[in-house]
Amino acid sequence: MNRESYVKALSEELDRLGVAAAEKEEILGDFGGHFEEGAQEGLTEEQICTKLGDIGEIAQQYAGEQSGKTFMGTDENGVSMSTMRWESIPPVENAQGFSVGGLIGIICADVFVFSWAIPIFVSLVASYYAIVISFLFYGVLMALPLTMLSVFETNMNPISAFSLGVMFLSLGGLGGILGLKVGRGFVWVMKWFINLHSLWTVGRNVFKKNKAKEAVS
Amino acid sequence: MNSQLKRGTLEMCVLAIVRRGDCYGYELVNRISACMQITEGTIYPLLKRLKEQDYINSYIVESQEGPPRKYYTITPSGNSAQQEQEREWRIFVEGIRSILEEVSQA
Repeated sequence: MNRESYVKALSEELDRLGVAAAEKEEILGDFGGHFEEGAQEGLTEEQICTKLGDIGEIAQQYAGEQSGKTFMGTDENGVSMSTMRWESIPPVENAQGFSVGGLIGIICADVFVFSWAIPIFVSLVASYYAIVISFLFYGVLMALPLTMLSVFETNMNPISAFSLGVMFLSLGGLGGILGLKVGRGFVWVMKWFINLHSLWTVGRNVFKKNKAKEAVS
Repeated sequence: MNSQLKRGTLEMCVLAIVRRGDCYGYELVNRISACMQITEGTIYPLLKRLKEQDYINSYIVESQEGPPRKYYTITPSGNSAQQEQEREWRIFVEGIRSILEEVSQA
């Protein structure tokens, strides 16, 4: 093997392992320098290649530095759980058929979740929406002077009533937008939880059938 | 030599050499391979890792006769890490030595 084929093979191996282009450039530069130095000492390219050693091992060591995301939340760079996808629940190893351990685990999880986690979660979400809706409702009442007068019969002047109404409306609107996110998060959690059941017992992802089969086989 | 044992200690060797004085990659590889059998190419990923850990830094020096050289220099945190490693290593080696002696005398 000569310099050209060695560097080319290293480059390809780094590509395969997903090392970033800029990093690869620097790495190949380091090895280029190594070949130059060796040649100055009177070594042949073949000798240098032999001493440098196994390309796969070297590339692996470069790739090993790059962080892999870990399950349950954060990776080395502190990327939070919000970027995690619910499909990423790891299937139970060798879960070809039915797993008794998985079933026991999921029953324990269910007792925990149904006894208090779900009630609390649902009531929190529901009260959030109730507050948002009441803001919107009150805002509309205040912003329409006629309704305001008939409903509340206060002495508040129409302009300040109107601006108060607009304020309530915008707060409600903002809450509503946030509420969409909350709703999506809620759906995410429910899917995740349902999926957990099938993954732990029969080792299959109910939402992504094909993907799960690949992972199992 | 056992490759796993070597991998763990190689980092310490590199740090120790760089701490003694700045040197470039090829020089470093040669110094280590003069003392033990290594896969030379694995020194470079190691240097990169040490740089990312902020134990060493690098700078380029142009040279007349050859290619520009990338020199490595130790950082303050690399300096203290190396001292700590060396201390731990000496204790470790001393422990092993006394075990081996005990066993061979028995």
